[in-house]
Amino acid sequence: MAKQGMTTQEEAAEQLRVIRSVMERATIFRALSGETALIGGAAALAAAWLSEGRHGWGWAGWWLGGLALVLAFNAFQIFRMKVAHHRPFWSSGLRVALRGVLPSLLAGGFLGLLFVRGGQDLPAACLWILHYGLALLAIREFAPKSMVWLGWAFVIFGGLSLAGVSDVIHVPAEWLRTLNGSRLMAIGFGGFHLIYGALIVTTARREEMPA
Amino acid sequence: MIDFSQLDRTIHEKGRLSIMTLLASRAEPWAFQDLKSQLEMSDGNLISHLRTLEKAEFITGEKLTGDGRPQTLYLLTVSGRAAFVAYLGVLEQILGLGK
Repeated sequence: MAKQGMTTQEEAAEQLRVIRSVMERATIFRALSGETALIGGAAALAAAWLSEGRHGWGWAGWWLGGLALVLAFNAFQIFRMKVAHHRPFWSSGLRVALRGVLPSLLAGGFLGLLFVRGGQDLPAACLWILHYGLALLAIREFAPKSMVWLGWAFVIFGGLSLAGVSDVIHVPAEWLRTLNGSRLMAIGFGGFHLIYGALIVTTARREEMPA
Repeated sequence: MIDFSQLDRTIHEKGRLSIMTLLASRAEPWAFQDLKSQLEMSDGNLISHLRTLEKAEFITGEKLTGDGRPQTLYLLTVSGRAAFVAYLGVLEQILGLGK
């Protein structure tokens, strides 16, 4: 029953290739492009510099403004790639990704703002870092491996920072004196995103197309 | 000797194999428009393959007519999932991957 010129094994291998390519297209969704990560990292460093020395809403305002800018840029990036590949913007991949990340982002955002209201920027930063990592891990089933690693980096860093700030683990006093919400956010949202973005844009671009 | 005669011919066609793969890739149903954009098939071609799979009772389609635009959602049936798994098993045996 094999096609002309193809052995049974070759045809079976061809069928498996079809399955693999459809599976990859359907299940891999890079919700965060390398370019967005670089812009996000740079914006985080800028927000850290601008928010240094501020507290409460004055501090959070710079971070929320930066977040809005980066989200708008990411939406534009996804839209640009969808148009280039003649695919709808509001795809099943985007919907599933949003359903995955929103619970963690909303919970973390809300908890962080509660601390912001009380002028406690450091625990707010820890909670935002931790929940951002949880949001990335929530879509691990159809995210490229690099994004899963990024998620774990945020979760571990956010969790350890929170444990340190709340005296669950011992942190040298001189570290705590130099640490504030802006610097913690700069390490997480600035440093991790810049490393991730640089790795993505300098390595092969397979998996780059959003589903 | 395992050969293609043991493969389910309904699934074996590439278009239908792609549809079955997509439906097997997620637990949630797939909308017609999403299937179309993922597989880059024409409406007619996709409808024809979906009808064949529905006739074989491998998939079910549910029409939704709420406030928004009407759409049809497709899902693998239990027998469809079993047939897809069996199909993969035969492919693996042909390629000597099944141990």
